[in-house]
Amino acid sequence: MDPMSELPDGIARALKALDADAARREAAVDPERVAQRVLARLRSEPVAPVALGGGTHWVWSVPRTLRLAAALALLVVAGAASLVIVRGSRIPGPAGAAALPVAIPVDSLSQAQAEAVLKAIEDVRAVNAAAPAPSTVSVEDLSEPELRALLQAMQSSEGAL
Amino acid sequence: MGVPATAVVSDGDLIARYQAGDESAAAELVRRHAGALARFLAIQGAPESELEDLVQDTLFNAFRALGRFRGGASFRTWLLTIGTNLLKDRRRQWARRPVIELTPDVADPSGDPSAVAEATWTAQKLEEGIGKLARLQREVFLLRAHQGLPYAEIARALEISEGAARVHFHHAVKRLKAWIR
Repeated sequence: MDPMSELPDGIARALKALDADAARREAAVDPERVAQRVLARLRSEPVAPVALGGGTHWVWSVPRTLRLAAALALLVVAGAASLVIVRGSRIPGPAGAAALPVAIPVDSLSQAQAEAVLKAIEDVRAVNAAAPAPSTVSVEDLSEPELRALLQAMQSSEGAL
Repeated sequence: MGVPATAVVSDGDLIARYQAGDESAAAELVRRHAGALARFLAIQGAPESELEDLVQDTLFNAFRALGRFRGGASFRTWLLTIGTNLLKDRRRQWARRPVIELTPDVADPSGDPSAVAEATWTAQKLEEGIGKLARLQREVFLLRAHQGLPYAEIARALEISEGAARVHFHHAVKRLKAWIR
């Protein structure tokens, strides 16, 4: 059954007239242009607020920059937490320092050289308290100032001998 | 030698292709439905200056929500209901800014000025009347009278019973008749 036949004449005529006007307005919409714009938006806006039948449903869209910032914040927090754990489990004091697996065999050093090296390491640690060295340190782990201090200490101890 | 007939790909197949990553399928869906959507929004009084943006936003929202399209109603009917809801939301925004009311530009093939004036007046009254209907009455009326959809399809799209769709249509016509009189 033709739905128009269900309508009283007056409404059917008015609807036809209104539809003719709607058709004129429809002609101003270019489907090809709309298609290109919709595709461009689908590529650039991964998630967006969506209005569906029966009301508006919001699908939260988190901007990329915000997501990056959140990821960075998470990294910082995780890093800080790891540092706390490492600090907590570290063996403090000379015992830790004595276990340094440095490239120079410790037993080849004289007592004075060994004491100078230990003192230099302690001094560097005191200066660089914000970033204390982990309990097991190799030469590769030392920073440039720490290496310089170590070499100076070794040279001065050699000079003293 | 005859040209082989081009097989018409169904909306469902195009949707599946788009979901599998084929952008051209989305473009085809837009080309297929943008005009009808524009006309459906225009008959509800969407301003001409906003029409293309409305169509674009409706289609964009629909593609973003495709995962929730159950296929109970056709893709087009689903689009029309999304567009209608978007238009309703936009009207709220437009209500907060000054708008220029446009009278439907109705042409009469007879060229009789009085007939044109009468047709314009009744079209304008109908547009106003449609705008004053309750949401379900308006949607059922337009989907039935303008789109010619069966009640079963309307009922699926609006998630109401077929009987309720018939009742809404009946009340809509009654109210419009009283409004235009």
